[in-house]
Amino acid sequence: MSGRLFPDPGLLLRIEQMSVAAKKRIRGTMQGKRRSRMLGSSMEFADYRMYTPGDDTRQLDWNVYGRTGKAFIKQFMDEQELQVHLYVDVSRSMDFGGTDSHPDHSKFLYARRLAACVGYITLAGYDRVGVKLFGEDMIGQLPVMRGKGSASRLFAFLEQAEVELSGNMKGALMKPSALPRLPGSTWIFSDFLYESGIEETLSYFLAARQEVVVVQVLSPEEVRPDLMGDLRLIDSETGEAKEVAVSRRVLEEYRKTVDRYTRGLQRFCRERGMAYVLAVTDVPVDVTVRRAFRDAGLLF
Amino acid sequence: MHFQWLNGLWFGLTLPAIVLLYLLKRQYIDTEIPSHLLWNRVLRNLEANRPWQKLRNQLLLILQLAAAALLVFALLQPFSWSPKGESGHTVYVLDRSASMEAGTGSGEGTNSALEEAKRRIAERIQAKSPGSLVTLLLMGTEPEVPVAREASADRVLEALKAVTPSYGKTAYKETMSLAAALTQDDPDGEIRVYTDGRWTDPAAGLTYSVPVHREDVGNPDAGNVSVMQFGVKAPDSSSGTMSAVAVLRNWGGTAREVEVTLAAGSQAGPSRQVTIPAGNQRSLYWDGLPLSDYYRIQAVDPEDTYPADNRAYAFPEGDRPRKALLLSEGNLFLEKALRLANIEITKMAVQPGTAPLTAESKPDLIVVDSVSPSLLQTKEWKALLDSLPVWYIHSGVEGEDEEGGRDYRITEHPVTRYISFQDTHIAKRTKVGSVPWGKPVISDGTSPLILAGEENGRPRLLFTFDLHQSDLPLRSEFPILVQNAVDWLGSAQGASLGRVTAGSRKELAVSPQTVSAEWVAVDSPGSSPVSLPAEKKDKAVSGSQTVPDRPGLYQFVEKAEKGQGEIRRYLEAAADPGESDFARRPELVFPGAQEGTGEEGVSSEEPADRHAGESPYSWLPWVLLLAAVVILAEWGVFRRGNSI
Repeated sequence: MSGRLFPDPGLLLRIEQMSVAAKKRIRGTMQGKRRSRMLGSSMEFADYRMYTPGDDTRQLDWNVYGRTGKAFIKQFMDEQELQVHLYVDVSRSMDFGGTDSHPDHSKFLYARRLAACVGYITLAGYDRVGVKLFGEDMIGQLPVMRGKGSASRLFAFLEQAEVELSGNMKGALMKPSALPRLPGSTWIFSDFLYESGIEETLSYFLAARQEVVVVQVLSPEEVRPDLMGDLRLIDSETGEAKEVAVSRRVLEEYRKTVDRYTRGLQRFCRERGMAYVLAVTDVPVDVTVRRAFRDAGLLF
Repeated sequence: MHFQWLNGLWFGLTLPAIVLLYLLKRQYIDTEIPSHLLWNRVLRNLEANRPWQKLRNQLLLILQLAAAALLVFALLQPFSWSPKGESGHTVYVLDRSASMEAGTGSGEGTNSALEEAKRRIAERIQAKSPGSLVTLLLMGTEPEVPVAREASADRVLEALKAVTPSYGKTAYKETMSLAAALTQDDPDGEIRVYTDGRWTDPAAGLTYSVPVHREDVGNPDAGNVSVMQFGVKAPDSSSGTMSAVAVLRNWGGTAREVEVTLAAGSQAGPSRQVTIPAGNQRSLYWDGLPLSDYYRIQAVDPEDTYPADNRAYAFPEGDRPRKALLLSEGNLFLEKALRLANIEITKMAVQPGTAPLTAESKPDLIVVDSVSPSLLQTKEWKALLDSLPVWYIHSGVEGEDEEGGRDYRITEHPVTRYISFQDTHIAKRTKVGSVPWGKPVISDGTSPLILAGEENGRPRLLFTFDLHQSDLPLRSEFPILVQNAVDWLGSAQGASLGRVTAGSRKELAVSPQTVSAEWVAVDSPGSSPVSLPAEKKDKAVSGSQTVPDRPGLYQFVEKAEKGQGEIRRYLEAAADPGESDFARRPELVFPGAQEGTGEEGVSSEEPADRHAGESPYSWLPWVLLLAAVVILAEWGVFRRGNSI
């Protein structure tokens, strides 16, 4: 367990009881805690049906048989595990927000922490989790794991992740190999500061029968920039410079633009049944996980 | 080049300000941000909503600077002294009234104000541009225009040089009126009045269509002492001496000590020192003066720079018994009355064929009492009657005798002085319509009783009634009437023509024998004696003569044919007494067009004397035009949107 990723190990304890919500009955490959659409061998009663030869007699409801003389088979819900895929943006634009005074405000670190939390919750809930890092391309992935014992692998993987020079969400994610093979929950941790391809990519994931959770990680400097004066703004990824005389009016316009942008993304997600969470890095990870995610119905 | 408003130069600071804005390079602080995505959107929004755009090129800067510089330049209201334009017309009004003779400094020997004015005008004329026109208008007894709309400076200077003071009554208003009329249709005209400001007539009520500049010359504080009156008379006929009285006035503001010298003819007389308080006058008396044809008084005050009124002349009245030729059948009352009037009578009854008296005993006047006109038709009689004052009593005119009315109307005349004709009864009188030479002085309502006038410069008096047909000789007024009549008839024959304003016209009795006449200066201060030929009319010496225009003592010398004697009469030409009042300085207002400089037309002192003959030429319209062109060019560059 990494002290860098989780300076407060108590957080893991606090979130251990949580679980990743799935809107639909999921269908996994292995036994899990998730209700499946299949009928199976869980403790949860589902229905009765007439006995047909070949049925497992252990499933006969003898009480009913005693009262009515007819053989009924008790059917139970099947429980399967949920596959959760975490996509973490490692493009250079994510490497912002951290200052010497507030190293925690780094978007990259914050995104990884959120991913670690969600991953830990998933593992703790006997679900399977996989992690993928994407920049210009898919640059690294942690295969699907299950069990709390895998948490350390998850943490180590996230901790070793490094920032890429540039990013291209569409190019990295819109590939068959990047998609989860089974239906499940897909969490994308990114700042979503891409000129194009966001909406296509998200639709692509929807089409892959994923419940998509969009977590937009922005630093407070991006939401409420503390800039003033004549500045040459250099794009961290392209290196292009832009001279801007920042005034109060420009800042006001910038705030409106940020608001418009996040709302636009949020609206897009809502329209397609995707979950959207705006995570600003000055909010403690703990709060984001336990409040924002919970309020959004993503964790319970 | 000159500037009217140099303070506008402060606006020139906008030029370095503009340059500074262009010089200042923006210092951009490199700031790395995650992505340009949001900033691009911000800037796109801002750009779309901004009403202006960034200036892109240096040409715009240069044009801007040029426009700003031109506007600042225009604010300075630049002008240059340029020679007056072709149409520039200056009317120089030169006051040459007698008071301009006064010196500009204190004491005699300094330049007179007139000379100073001439010098100043000459300076301007010399500096004038070749194309500008000059009119010289002289203020004299009547306005004179020696040069009108003259472009040649030499001719103007020549005319200016010939200007002399005018001692007559100056026609101030007429001159200014003429100046206004001369510049009526001259939008570029200008009137410049050079005067000492001592106008007897403020010339108010005139308006001028051009600016009027007044230049004061002379010393405004100059004092003046003048001889106001001077006369002599014989206290009694036997003493053989004369007494004189003079009135001197000090017009100045300080008391003056004046040395007064009186001379009898060319013989110097007594001199005395008198002090005259400021603004007061003083009378001086002399007795026991020797007999002379004329007397001269001279007041000498070293402080007095106006000499024209410092001397005066007086002529003794001819008190010697006058001789009269009485042509009468006999008239006791008339003879007595004539004797009472100190007339030596030579009585003569006119018969047909009677010849007049010879020249040696030529009478001073002829009294024709009830003599038939036909008896006096001979050549000799006519010559005699034409050469002398004649008093016709019930003769001289043809007409029916008839009864007259008693509604006497008496006209003001020297003959009717002290006469009322009250209760006087006139039984019959000749009905006379009018006579070519005279006007009625007393009439009875329908016809004149007494007519007076001049024929060929000789006084004529006509009583239309016979004295025997009236109770007039019994009245106490009769001797007075006779005295008046002979005084009036004899006045023109006197030894002097009196005191007359210089340059004015004077009616003179010219002898019929006179073939030529001239004015001879006897005593004229400041000029050598000269003689001026008298005016002639129809080849004969005119009975109306213009008095010499310089103050002084003159003789009117009439010469008969072939040296048959001459008549000499004294006349004093005096300066207009109105000019002596140096304390009077009426406010002169010339409501003229205002000049663009804001200088009032009335203002007197001309500060920029060194720019004489030049007019300010404003550059403003040209600068503004150029600025407009630059701004238009700027607009073109702005529209084209890129730099060259």
